[in-house]
Amino acid sequence: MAGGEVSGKLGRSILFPFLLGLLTALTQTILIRELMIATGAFELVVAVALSLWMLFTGIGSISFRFFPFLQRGKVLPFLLIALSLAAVGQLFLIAPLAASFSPVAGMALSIPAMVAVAALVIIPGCILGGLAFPACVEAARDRREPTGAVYLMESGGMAAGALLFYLFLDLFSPVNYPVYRDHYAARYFPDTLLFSRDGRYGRLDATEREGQRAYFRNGQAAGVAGENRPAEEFAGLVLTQHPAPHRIAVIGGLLSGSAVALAARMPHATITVIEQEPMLFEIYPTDIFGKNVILRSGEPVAVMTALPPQELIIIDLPDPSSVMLSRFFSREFFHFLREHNGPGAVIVVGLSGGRGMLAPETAALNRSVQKALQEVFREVVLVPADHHLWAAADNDFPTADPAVVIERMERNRLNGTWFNGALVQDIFEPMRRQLTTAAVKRAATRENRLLTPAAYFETLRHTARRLGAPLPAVITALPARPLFFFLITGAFATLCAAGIAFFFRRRMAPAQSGAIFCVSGSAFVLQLALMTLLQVQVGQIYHFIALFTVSFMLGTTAGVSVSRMISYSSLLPIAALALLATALLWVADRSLGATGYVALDLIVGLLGGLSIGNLTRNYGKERSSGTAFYVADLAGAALCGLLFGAAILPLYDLRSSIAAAGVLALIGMFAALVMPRGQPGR
Amino acid sequence: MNRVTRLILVALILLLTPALFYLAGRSPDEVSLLRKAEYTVSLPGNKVRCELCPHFCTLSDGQTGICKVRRNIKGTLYSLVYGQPVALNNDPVEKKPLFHFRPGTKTLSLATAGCNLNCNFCQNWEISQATPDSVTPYDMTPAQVVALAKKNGSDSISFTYTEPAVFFEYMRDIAKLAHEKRIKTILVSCGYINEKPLFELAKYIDAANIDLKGFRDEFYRDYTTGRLQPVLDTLRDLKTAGVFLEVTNLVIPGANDDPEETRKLARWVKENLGADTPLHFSRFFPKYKLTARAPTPPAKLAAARVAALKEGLKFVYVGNIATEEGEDTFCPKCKKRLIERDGFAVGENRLKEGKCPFCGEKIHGRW
Ligand code: SF4
Ligand SMILES: [Zn+2]
Repeated sequence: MAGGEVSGKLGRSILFPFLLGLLTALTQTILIRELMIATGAFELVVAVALSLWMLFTGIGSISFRFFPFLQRGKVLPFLLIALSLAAVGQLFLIAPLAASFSPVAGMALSIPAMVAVAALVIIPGCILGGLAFPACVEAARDRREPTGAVYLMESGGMAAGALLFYLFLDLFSPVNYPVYRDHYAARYFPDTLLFSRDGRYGRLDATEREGQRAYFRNGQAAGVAGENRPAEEFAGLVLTQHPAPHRIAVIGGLLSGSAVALAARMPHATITVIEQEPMLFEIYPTDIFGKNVILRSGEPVAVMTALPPQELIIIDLPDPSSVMLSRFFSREFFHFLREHNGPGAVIVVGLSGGRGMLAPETAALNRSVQKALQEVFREVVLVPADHHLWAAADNDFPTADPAVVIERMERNRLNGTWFNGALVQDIFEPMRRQLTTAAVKRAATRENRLLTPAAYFETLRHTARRLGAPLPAVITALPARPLFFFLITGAFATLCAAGIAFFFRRRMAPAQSGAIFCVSGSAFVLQLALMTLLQVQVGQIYHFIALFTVSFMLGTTAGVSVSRMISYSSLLPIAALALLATALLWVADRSLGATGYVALDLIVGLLGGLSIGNLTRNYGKERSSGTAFYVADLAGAALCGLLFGAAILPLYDLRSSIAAAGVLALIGMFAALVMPRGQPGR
Repeated sequence: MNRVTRLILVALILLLTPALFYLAGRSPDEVSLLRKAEYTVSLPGNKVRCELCPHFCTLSDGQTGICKVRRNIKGTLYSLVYGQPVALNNDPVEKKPLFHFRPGTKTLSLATAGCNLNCNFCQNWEISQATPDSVTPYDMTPAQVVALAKKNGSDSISFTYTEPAVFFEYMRDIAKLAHEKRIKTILVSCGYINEKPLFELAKYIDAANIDLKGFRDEFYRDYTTGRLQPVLDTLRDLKTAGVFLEVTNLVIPGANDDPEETRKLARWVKENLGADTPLHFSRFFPKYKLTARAPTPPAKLAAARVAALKEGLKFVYVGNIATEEGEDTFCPKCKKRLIERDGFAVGENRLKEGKCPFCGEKIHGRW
């Protein structure tokens, strides 16, 4: 019997942390997606939510010692059951909480309200998960190095959870369940939700009312089917930037209606509509298109490469609110378009504008794209319509002369009830053109590039202001003072590492906790950087994001396992992390392919696991060291991830993030070397 | 280092960090020409009450009103936007929209930052919801604005885009000067202004398009920071003052598009402003904070137009959408088409000296 009990205990000590990891990964992925949609797909909310996640989990973990009954192994199954119940319950918290901050359905929340909703929604699960980790360590006390073992199993569980989500998206998409879908449909009052689909690039909803079908991408209005003034204006203006285009490619434009409007005006041209999200073609009534319209889903560079040179290439995408979107407004992408399509082609890019009513953020966004275009093309012309159009080419086709535009409009029979001579005259009205051009020119920003996504930063600024929380001058002035930023944040990170080491000095040697903080931060920032590199160099991300967690966690698991088998100095893997960051700096501007980035991510996880596994050795038997280790690990990832991953990237560039990861690893080595290493509490 | 020293050091660095950040981001103080605000009452303790609009903001030293552009500085209220337009365009008058006021002419349209209604569906939020220091204005005196209108051949000057009531002093001075130079003036407003300033302003205003955003007070309270009654008062006052008036209603799904509300609104316009007051139903597009709501279904706009015509209004239009006849003017008597419009394009205008050429009916407007 005794033997059975021991193996049962051992089984539990392995199974529970695995389940904990699995549940955490699934809850996090599902919940963050829903939160993102509820908060208007504002990316900063995701960063904030992830950091809050780690913060509350840390708090849960720290409060473990205040609940003596949890230290009995038997409660663990109940804790995990409570965690899974919380995970489902949390989903249903989002809508009522959001509603309590706004009397109006479908209205964007202010940024403080978003943060409050995110925090309140994730608290229950986080606290339970945080409590569960030290409880698992407690349950595994009889094992050799319980903390390491639990960490190992939890990482494995997270990898498994991420993989499950990746493989069975439909199963884990809450809108596929009527209970949740009915609850979710209320946000589209007074419309009726027709359907809701989760795809690789986010969610697509369609609603209907009084015969009008409307589309929403990630919870934000994306267009209506049928009659559409903005689309008519867009299509008309775009088509007049080329005298007689026969081969037209439009990237995006399906939901906004411009694809339909283009096709209606150009029945004799071949129009290729390229959308990244394959699901769009499944749900959109594509049978309205004639034979001259070719629909292609996939990564635009890959799709374009397979096409013959086009005469008119239209980029009709939402403003670059992510690094992935920013890519299609970058100098590198424009360069590709020019190389592939030759000197006869005209490129037209749509951006937020506003008929002469430019906010500084919009002006800066336009400026960053204008600069990128000017680096590649000889002619760059602004069409200051409701949506600003930038026409660029190595020929003289682009024009801001209303007479030429009207002549082309009439020759190609583009005019209709809305797009007509009067509208053209109004758009190209000399005063508007002059003032808008001056306002854009005055905006201080850099040109938009793959690794320096200035347009992404300006879009963030724009969104922040829309939500009533303009980024303070402190932040917007930082790009001009990078050194200052690095000194301050570097000092801040060092200080936090020291603070954690000091706080847990009775439970863990400062050299250990300080180093864990830095290594965890460095590895997490590198993971974020790799994800971003994948987005900008390869383009596909939602497809791979789950794989990223899987590979990172697999690497970590492997690293921790190895650390328990052989002995080596912790400094080695940390130094390797720093070296890897340096190497990455050199190859950042080359594409390593999706597999390359996922493989590198695995290596980062491995090095993190090797360092952290080794750092937790010999301290595992100490009571409560589970908490100390867990908090140091989480704090490192949360703080450094937010500072160096989420904040630096839009402000400066990707290389700065990578460099920061390297510096963090160096601080980690420093901590491991110079901080006190004695047994804790002595 | 003992524990206390260490703690002090940590606290010091934590405090210094934000201070350094602040210094790094500080921009040099901008010198701007402030203008004393009118319609204010001084209160004890350096406080000021602004009586320009129905918010009646009571502001302590350093505080700014709901409109973001009027600030109490040491006991005196200042307009922060006098002479500081942020948008300046030479628009077709149809764009305001004004359909019965000098069709086919151009109007020099301008706005400063600021608004006192803060609608969460604002279609111009980038400038209306901005603080004066977050936008880059053009410096222009009233004389320069009027000169620019002359130079551009504008028939009128429009105060529009944001809420002109909040740049009252600037608007009034421009309008006064414009009249001296024989240029017409147009007010495009949400109508949230008090009676006294309104009557002073009305002396220099020829035409107005007032947004009657809904006909329920709850709508105003949920979607804006204002109330319904003051807007109705403004409409009546403008009528009394002899300003030529058109009314616009932005039809927002689920907010103000209940057929009964539309009928009530139309009835009120007829009874208080006259059956020949042009009424525009405009299509909503998701903007600013209301981005999870679909645009107005075209059927809804058409139904609103029919309902308002049924209530007895003579000229009802739909805007922001392409329709067969929703933008055209028909003779209320013989029902013949008098003015054709396609977007901003004014097609054939058959009016003869403001009268229907077919039946002789006088058509309300300033032609
Ligand atoms: S004009 Fe501005 S400051 Fe004056 S009462 Fe209205 S909102 Fe307040
Ligand atoms: Zn007649």
